[in-house]
Amino acid sequence: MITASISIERVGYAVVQDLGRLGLAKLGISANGAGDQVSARLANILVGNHEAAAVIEVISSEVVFTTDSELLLSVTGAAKTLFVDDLPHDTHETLVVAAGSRVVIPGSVFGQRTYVGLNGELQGNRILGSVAPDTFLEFGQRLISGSKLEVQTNFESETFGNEYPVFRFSAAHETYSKNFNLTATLGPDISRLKNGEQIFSQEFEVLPQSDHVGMRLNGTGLDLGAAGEILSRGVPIGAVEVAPSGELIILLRGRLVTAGYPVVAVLTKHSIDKVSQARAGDQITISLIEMNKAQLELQEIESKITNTKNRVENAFRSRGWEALLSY
Amino acid sequence: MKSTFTCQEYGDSAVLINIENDDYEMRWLAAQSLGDALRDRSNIGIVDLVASFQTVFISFNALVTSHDAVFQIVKEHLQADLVPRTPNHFKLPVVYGDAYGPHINQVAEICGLSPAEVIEIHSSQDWVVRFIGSPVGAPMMDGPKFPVSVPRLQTPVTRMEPGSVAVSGLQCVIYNAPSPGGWQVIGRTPVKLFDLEASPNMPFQAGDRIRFTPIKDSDWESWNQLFHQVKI
Repeated sequence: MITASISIERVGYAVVQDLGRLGLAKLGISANGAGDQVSARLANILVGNHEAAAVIEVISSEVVFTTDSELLLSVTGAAKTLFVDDLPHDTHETLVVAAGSRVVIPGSVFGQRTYVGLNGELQGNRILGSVAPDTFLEFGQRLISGSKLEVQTNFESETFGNEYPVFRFSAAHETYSKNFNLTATLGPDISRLKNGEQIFSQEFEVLPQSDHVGMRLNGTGLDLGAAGEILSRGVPIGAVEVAPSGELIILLRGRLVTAGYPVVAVLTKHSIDKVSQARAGDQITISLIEMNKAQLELQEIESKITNTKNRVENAFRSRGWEALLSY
Repeated sequence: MKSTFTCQEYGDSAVLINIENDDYEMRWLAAQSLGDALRDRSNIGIVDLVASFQTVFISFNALVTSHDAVFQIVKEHLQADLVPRTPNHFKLPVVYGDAYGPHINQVAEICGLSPAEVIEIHSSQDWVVRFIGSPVGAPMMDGPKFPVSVPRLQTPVTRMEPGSVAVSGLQCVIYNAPSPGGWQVIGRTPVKLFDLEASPNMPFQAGDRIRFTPIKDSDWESWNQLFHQVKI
């Protein structure tokens, strides 16, 4: 195991991130973690890490760094291309980057979250078992220009030789535009509202006051009336709520564990990942799907992830890279 | 009297259980008992759970279990007899009004009372912790009754100071972490209520009783201690 590092040359908004804190609602602790969970998991899988390991989450900006030692690296999420010493590479692949390389990951035109996976264990303090930023716990590790980020890794040329292979995994991923077509199942309070179903035929715009707690969408024109008075109860990530103003709020991973607005729909797991990529001004539609369809969709995505994982594992093993695999 | 309940699908990976019983205490007790039985059961695919006033939200791993399987487990547990809880009692110092409780005059006006009468109602009886919510270990309480249901703030506050004691409707909450909030703040406690280093992170749980005690702002420093020491 060696300590490798990258030196951050220029960065907008990027944090050390993982899948968040699950199972802590009993303490009123929000899940948080990577907005696009599947992309964060893929970033890890492509470099042989356990899928819940720490990654770098870059939001709505670029990041430029130099490698102080050679690294096994992946980029997933919104970015389509990255540059290593000015040479373009596809994202959603496994890359060997030599020591002293300059890596540029440009801000994406569409979508807003990009993930960088590095083989090994990224440095980072943990609270309640996770590196995920939490504004209520006043916790998080943000990357700053001029700083170094260390990773404990088994990847070194002394062990693996200098003849690096070129991998082609082409891991399945989304392509983003300004339009997000989301899917959802019916929420428990839909019948409390008159014409609540109209949200499935409207087009919404993401408002700039959105954050990691909730995404705000422009008005539905729905009148809550007495339907708005609901005793606080647990709410899932992805719940689509109608606020008293008639605006829709989609609860994201930083959501408070209880809330009291009517929930008219709940996004599918896949759409929760997707919507985390939407930026202010993007257009959103929500289609209603049957529960069994939603579950099929979830299984399909999981089987694609398992497929990628198996291919990476086979490729690494065939090179004698077992020491780089954490799964 | 046994409670009945309804089960609703709550997205592809969660259910919402709604307890039905004419008695408020029974609804709450049934929800809490179900919560205690199923919380931390990752072995059967349960990911997270919130038991509140009369509902239980259960999220699960849809690759391991299903809505129907969770409904079946809930049904079995709700047939068990309910065991009343033995509450722990806590005494919590609060500086009321002024910068500590900026909305106390507003609350007094809404209730048609003087600020002193608001303090009297708030601190003369026990509040019951109904459940722990967000942000960070916030005890959601009810108990003493103001003459009217207190409305939320017209414009939410962008930053509640840690320790803020706030009221809304017939409920009271303590904000343990700086956060935005829409409840009316009538006071603030100097006691640190949530400790990441401690085990458990907070000593109170659903069913416990909290009595607020008015203190002067000059006594603030002397109360700068952990909640564990205010148990009575």
